Formats: sequence, C-alpha cells, structure tokens
Amino acid sequence: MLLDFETLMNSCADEIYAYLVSRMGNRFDADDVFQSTFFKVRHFLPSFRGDSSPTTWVMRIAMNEASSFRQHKGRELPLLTPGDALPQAGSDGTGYDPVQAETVQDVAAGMQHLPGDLRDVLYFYYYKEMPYKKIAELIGKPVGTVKSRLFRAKEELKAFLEAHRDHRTQ
Amino acid sequence: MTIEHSDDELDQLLRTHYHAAVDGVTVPELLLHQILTETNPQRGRTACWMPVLAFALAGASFLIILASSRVVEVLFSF
Repeated sequence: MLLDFETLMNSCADEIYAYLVSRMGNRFDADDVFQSTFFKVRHFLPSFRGDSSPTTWVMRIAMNEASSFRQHKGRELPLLTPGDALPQAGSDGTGYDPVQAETVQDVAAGMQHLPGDLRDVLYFYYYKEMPYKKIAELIGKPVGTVKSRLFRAKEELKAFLEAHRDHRTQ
Repeated sequence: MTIEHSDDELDQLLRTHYHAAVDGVTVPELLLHQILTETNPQRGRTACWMPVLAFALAGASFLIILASSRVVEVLFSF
C-alpha cells in the first residue's frame, strides 16, 4: 500500500492529538508524544502492509509511544485546573450544577491515578463510543479483557471519588 | 453524608469529563509544521555506526601524531 505521509498525517492528526491530550493529561506531553509518534509513522510507513486501517495503525503507534513516554516520565500534570473546562452557568444562572462541576473535577483527578491501559479503554468506550469488539481489535486484546479493564477502571474511579468525597466532608 | 456513585452516574460523569477535556482539541499548526520540516532523529542504522566512526577518528588522530613525532625525531637526529 502506497501512502503519502503528509496526507496520512493530515487525515488523522486531530484524532490522534485528542487521544494524546486525554491520555497524557496535559498538552506539553501530548505535543512530545505526538511528535515522536509521527516520526515513527514516517519511518515505518514504507513497511505498512495495510493489515488495518491507516488511522488504526497510527493510533496503535501513538498508544505505544504514550506508554513508553509515561514509563520514562513519572508524574503528570493535571488536565483540568480548577474552574477550567467545566459546565458553565448560563446568563440566567441556569445550566450549572456546582455538585456536578466539582465531581467532574474529581473524575479528572481520579483519571490521573489510573494506569494507561485502563485509561485507554475508558477513552475509546466513553468518548469515541466504540463497541467492545472494535476496542479489542485496536488494543490487540480479547473482548473479555476490554470488559474487565472497563470494570476495573470504573471500580478504581468509584473508590477514588468516594475517598475524595469522604475526605472533603471531614 | 456519603453519596454512592451509581454506574449510570459515573457513566454520565465520564462522558462530561471527556467532552469538557477533549472536545474541540486540534493539533497546533506549528507542531504539524515542525514534523513536516524536521528530520527524524536518527536512532537506527546510522546512529549505531557513530561510536565506531568516533573510535576510528580517534585512532587515526593517534597514528598521525605518532607518525609526526617520529618524523620530528628523525629530523633532529641529523
């Protein structure tokens, strides 16, 4: 399969970048991993055999790059700082639920504590709304693994949210 | 008061979180431009020859110094 690097990059850049911003938790690291991902894409493009769609192939490279980056760099910066990107009140004061806003911040904080493989399935399931089978193909694991990772991720998040709430009410 | 998070509530929170954090995120133009114009940092076949090349250059320099000192020695012997 003959693919032009620039065309490929333009076709999936935003999708990969959005994934990396979510996965890395901040734009600085997302920029670094995005760059290393596309350097790899350019390097390995001649050997791409077309077993999967080009975007899936690039996404797998991005997932690997994100994992190795995270292994080399321990701590991550928070994606949401207080007040950022939260549900805002309308001009009449409606449409804003302070309890939900606070909890969404907690979810963002809890996400930082999840391992990358759990975060990946949450992203593909809840944001990309992919079915289990497609997620399984993407991460190269059986459907059962996707379901168990989803379950574990939610359990860990629930535990984090409960602990956070208990701490706040004390 | 302890509030239990039901699955439905957590699902909703996760969706809200992702839409707040990721919706509308696009790649900075500068970053795309950098990737298209910059060369890939070489870590493949070329990079593995670098130590060999450095060693060969050091060896050659040593031989040149040795040879020139020998020439000087010969010249002074006359």
